[in-house]
Amino acid sequence: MLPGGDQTATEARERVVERSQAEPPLVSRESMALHARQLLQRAMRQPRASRRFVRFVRLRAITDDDRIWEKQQTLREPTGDRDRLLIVLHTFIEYSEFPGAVSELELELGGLTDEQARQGGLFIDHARRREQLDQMVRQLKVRFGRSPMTQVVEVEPWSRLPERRFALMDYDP
Amino acid sequence: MEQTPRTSLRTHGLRPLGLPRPVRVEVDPNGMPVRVDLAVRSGPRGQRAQRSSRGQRSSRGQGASADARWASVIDVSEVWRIGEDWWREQPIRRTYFRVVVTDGRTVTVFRDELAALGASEGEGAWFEQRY
Repeated sequence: MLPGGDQTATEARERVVERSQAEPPLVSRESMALHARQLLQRAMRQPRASRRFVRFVRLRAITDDDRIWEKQQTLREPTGDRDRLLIVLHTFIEYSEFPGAVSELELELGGLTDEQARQGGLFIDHARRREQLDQMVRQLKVRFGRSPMTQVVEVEPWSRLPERRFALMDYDP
Repeated sequence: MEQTPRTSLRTHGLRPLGLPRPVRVEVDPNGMPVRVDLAVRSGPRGQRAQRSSRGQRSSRGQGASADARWASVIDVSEVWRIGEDWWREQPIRRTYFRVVVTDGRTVTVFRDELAALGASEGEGAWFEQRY
């Protein structure tokens, strides 16, 4: 195999990509953040990303008229903590101008590494609790065929229509 | 051969909370609620129910049941109007009433103004919703 091929394979091993389609297209930052959160959950569930650390995050949006928006960040320290990655994504979304309603969202976690980089002590308990919860839900999923857990998420908490404020989202670690 | 890290395209399902549920309401000549049927019903809820009610404006008995539990309205404490999505195919125009009924409970109901336009005695145009 050519060295170039090896490099491509290595790059592929070091990243995971998740995509989702939105119908109707997303027009609020909140709904975009929710989609990004689900993409992150799915990406971190991939065997390739499981128990590994992420060095690079890229979020890409495609509007319903095919315009592309993209934002990426290389992390100062690799992390496997979902909440920290979520903060990065929220920052992307919160401080960006989108060229239109978003019909497709793509998340890439890159530079996956086994390196046990310094993980702040404050995060250890939280990460452990999350891992225990995830483990429990995985067992329930094996037993019942699907995750019976859902979580309440804010969609448009300011909306004057109550049914648009909150939603239930599958919790599927 | 290395597998692509790209997964297949999927959609996400978010289930909205706080959907309105159809109720029956009797109104006075000014359109203010005087009695509310508080019986819990099964069946379509929320926007689905609203769409359904708009498609069957003249159908009596939507949400009707033998175990109706009518409560008289003793006070209308607040009335407000909401108009949303006016630029869409299915705009939303609601008039909300926060009412106090005989057992002391406060209930929020709304009239779907677009469904009510052609409805017979407002059938299918009223919903209860926690606000």
